[in-house]
Amino acid sequence: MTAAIEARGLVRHFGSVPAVDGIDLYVPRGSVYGFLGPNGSGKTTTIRLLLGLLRPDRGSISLLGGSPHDDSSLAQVGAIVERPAFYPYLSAHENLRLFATLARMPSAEGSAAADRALGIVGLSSVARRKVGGFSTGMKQRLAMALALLRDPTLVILDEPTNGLDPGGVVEVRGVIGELARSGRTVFLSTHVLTEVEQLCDRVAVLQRGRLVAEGLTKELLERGQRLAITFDTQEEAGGAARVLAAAGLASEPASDGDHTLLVTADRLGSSAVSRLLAGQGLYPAELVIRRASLESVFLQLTDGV
Amino acid sequence: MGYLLRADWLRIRRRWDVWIIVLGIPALGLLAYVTGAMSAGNNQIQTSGDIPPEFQLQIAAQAAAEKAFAALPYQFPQSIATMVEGTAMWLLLGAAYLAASLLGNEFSWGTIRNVALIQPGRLRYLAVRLAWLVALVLVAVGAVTTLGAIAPAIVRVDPGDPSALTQDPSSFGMLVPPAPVTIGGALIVVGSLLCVSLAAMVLVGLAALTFRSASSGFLVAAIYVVVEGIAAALAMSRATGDLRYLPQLALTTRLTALVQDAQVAAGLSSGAGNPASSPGWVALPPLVGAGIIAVWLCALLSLWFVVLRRADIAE
Repeated sequence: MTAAIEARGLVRHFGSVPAVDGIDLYVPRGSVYGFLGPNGSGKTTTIRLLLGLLRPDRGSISLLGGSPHDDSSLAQVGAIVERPAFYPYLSAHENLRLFATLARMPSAEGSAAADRALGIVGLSSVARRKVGGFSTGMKQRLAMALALLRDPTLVILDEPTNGLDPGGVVEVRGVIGELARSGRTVFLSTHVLTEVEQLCDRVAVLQRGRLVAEGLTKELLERGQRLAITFDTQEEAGGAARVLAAAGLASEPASDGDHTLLVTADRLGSSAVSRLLAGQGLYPAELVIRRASLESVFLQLTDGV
Repeated sequence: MGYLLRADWLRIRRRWDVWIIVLGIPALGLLAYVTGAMSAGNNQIQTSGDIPPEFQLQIAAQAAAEKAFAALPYQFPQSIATMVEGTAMWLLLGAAYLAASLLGNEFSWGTIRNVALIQPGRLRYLAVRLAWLVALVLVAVGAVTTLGAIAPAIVRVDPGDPSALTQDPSSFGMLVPPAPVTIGGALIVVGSLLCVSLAAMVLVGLAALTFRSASSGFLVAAIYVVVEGIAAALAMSRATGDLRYLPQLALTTRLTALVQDAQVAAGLSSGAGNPASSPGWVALPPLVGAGIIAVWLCALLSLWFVVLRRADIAE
């Protein structure tokens, strides 16, 4: 089966500045793919390239097996790109019906699709109100409704919870979760790392237009996990640091605990570290695996930008 | 294309500014016509004191002639030309506004992005938008023309008695049409002003697409017209030999000449005071002039499609 999104060697400059610099992406069908990066890292430009809104200087893009400029490919895609954009003098329902007409839906079908999409995002009660009077959060919900209008198989969401109140954030996350459960592919670009941690099975991290990490969210979090080894005395902790260094394992004192060392122990594992220390007569009072948060991994990968 | 036309109808039908332009221009034209017709109907020569009998006859003849000539623009079919000429500036500005607004606002509102995502055939989309723009301008011009045709039946102006005239009316300072205006002549005037309105629409539309905003489109097109006009005038005053033809190719020069040629062809003007009488002017046959305008319009419209096809949608 072809990927939902496949990009190879994607490059796009604005003037002499490379906004996207050789990105390769492979988004499997049915996955919820998190796309992370600090402001200005090239996330929105990448999304615009994927959707055919911008043309790449170099590289190729396949969207559901076709070109992003094909009617047939885009017909299966729903997207939110940056700020919501609607005709302010039309109502929410009229806006969606207009886009349904552009999508070649017959009038009755388009009207029903508009009603359904507005219901999903909780805007049914204001469906007949002009969009010009909507708040940012309402417009963001309407953008979500537009993305869902054609019952897409691939949903590309650029900061979908921007401008939403906490209730709206929870609702939109619920909608994304529902999309994932129904087998649709979701490509989610966001600043909210907890969103990615909760929703995404794969994640890519972008930094200055380049991918600095890509893989399963679980693997990325494991990459940042550490062993926390606590001793009763400082002497024991110092001795353990020397033993670990001799075995080629770097350790550092933990900032949040007395006599505690943090060790990246991917290579040996916790039981091997325990055996190594016991062999030198050093018995830890406590040895636990500390899971990294996506936030710490993200900051590590992006140099805290 | 039917679905695109329907979508555009959903977009346009709720835009009050569009309907103010399309319906407001004929209304303005009618207002100007009625005002003019009423003042023409009240045309009287004021006299005071005792007038010798030999002068009374002459005054009566002048009054009859003035009345007849003042009433001429309000008699069918010249009334069509009167109505259309009375709204020419509004038609031109209205067509320019429609293009700037219906194209430029898609960028300033960012809705062009949704359109591109849902309907990736940008050229089809633009072709339909162009069709709507032309249709709206045609509706406005058509309404003005129809009002011009039926206005004489509603607002009657006494045609007077030109046969009572004993002197050349130009000696009274009246502009005398060289020939009676026919329906064909009136429609030539309508056609020339329609052509000018469409040219304004195409020029402003291109600027709006290029600069991605309604106001910038309007401004840039206005600057272009001023600069082209100055450049053409300068070139006309200095060019010699075959270079004298160069300023005749300018869009604004040709459109001005088209309107003047149409008035002459319709019998509304003898051509005196035309640009043709200005220094450096080289008269071109009307058909050649119309051909140059057609080339201009085709080129500008082609650029519409090139600009949108190549555009990055960064909105």
